[in-house]
Amino acid sequence: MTEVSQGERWRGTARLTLAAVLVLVIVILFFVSLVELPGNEGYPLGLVAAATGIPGAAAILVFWFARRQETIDRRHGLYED
Amino acid sequence: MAGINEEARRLGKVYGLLVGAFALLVTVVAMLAQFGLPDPVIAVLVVMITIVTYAVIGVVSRTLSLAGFYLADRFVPAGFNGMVTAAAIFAAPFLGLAGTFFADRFLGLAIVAGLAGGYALLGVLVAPYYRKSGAVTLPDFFAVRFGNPLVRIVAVVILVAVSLPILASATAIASQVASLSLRLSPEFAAIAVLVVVLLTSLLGGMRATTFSGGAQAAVAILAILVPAMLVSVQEYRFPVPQITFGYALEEAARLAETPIGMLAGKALPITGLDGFNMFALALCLAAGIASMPQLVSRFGAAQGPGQARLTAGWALVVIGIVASTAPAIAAFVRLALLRDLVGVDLADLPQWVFDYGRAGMLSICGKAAVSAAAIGTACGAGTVVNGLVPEDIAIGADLVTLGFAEITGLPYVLSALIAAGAIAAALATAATALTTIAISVGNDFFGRLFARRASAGRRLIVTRLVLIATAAIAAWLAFRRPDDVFAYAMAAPSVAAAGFFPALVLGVFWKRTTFWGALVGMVAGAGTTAVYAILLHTETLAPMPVAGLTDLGISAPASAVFGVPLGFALTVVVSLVTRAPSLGRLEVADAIRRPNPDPILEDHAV
Repeated sequence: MTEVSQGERWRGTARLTLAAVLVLVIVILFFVSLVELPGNEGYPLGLVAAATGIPGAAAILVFWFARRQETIDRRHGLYED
Repeated sequence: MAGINEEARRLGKVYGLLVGAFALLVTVVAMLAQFGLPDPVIAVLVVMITIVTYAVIGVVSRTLSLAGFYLADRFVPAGFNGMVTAAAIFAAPFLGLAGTFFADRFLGLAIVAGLAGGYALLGVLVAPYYRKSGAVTLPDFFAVRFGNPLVRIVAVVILVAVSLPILASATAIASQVASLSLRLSPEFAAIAVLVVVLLTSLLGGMRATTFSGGAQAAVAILAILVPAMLVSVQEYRFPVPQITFGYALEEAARLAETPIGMLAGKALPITGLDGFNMFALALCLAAGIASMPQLVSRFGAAQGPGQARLTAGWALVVIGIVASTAPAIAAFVRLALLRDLVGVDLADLPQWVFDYGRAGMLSICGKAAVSAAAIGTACGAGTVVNGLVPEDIAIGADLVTLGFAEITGLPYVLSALIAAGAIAAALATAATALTTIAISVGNDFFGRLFARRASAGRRLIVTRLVLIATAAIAAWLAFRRPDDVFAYAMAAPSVAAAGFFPALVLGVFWKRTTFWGALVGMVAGAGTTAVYAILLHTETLAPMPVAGLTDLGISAPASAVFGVPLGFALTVVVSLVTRAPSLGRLEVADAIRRPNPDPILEDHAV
């Protein structure tokens, strides 16, 4: 647990955090853009996909983020237990 | 970690049994209803039994320890904590989200995106660091990070400005739904709600809101999911309303070209929002959820930073259930209205039209729909002959959820179940907001500023006195000024976003952030947003248009669209012109970033 390893760990964490936020924004915009696709008459597939997809994708993203963060922490010997 | 897993299994077993018992109760009541059990008795059985259960859980989980009262002993498993964290803001989405989807699918999606994005940001940017700081409340976090009592005082003021309207609005929602479903007088319903909220918070603080919140979340989930699934099976022989509602919308589009009107609801906005406002609303809601004091403080009950991240994930699963069922509820209601009201002889209108007309939640041809004769007078001779057209009808935004069972023709017991769910959601929200305010005033004002040497027992007494006083103020506001309360509660996430989000995020991710930067950013962000919302509500100011983006003007629920950038800008600028933080401060900032136990932060625990 040297100073260097803390710096490396934090750089990894910051990168992961930035990636998670970007993915979140992109996923939400993607689902919202599905709603009024041209030629989407009849069954509103876009709306159905977005209403379940946005919270579902956000949940998956957070669980993925938690796993990745744990991997980073373990690699630097900083896991909490 | 073994301990927390064991605890999770134990809680799973107990709450599984509770949910099973509740499902059995509803089934038995439904069967008795077949033999002529009258509706009021059904409502009393289903609603009262759930409410009494929360009160009992609240009393059983009473505590005399500060760590129990303030932090639920920091030993709540992630799955359970996630459920409670979702329930902590359930009042508005449970009651209002289906209505917003009914009004405008993009508005509904904007709110879903804001909620989901907010919980994700909470888990990624805020929760683990808040938990690691060892803070007891959100103001405590700022005090730990920036090391100055002034920031604590400012944060408590903003916290009260955010949480009090939400508490009062949830109290008002709970008592209005209770009065409607149990046919109680409004005064009696308000008092009953106040008593239950006190029983689930006064004796056990966060420990009690955690354990009763779990039961409330379970009831709310069942109440929104089961009726929608039943309609889905009835209509499409497939029990997944999240998918079948597309067919309902398809059929509704064939039945009517013109839209059905709406009346504003209590919980969420439905009018005054154009495309830009919806986008801004989603952003404000996301930042607001990520910095909402009663949500952030729930992560203090997690066992550690890792559990805090998982808590946000589980909260998203629960939010997802409500968010994805809401558009289905809206679609089934739309279809049922078109089938059962449009073109039907006025004498054949179903009874619930007049019931909800009298309650002021349904109007036809611009007048409350109190009787077939009144509708005939309001609409004129043409309607008496041809029946109603869709644009004659205006349905209250909250009725889309509350009236779902009656409108779609489900048995009355499901109406009672939905009412029980709405009350559960509102009670969970109210109790969480109430304990957050009380603990913050009791810990941050009394314990940390005035009486630093006070014993744990005295702190607990003061916190409980604050809790009683806050509950009384909120109940008075909810009863006397419900319309003001609902309006400010809708703007509250924006105030939280502008006040806390920049300082929270920069405080963790930018070590150069100074105490002065955070302070100025918080005051300016929250100040402008709150003042703007107040000026809009009192109609001193018209909504400010933004050239090229919105002509309607920025609405109050989206008002942080100025405040958050202002907060970020001022925090950065003021931090750069003030003296760099001391080495000791930087060590604290580093310690907040590390996940493992830390001697630097040890002394901040209760």
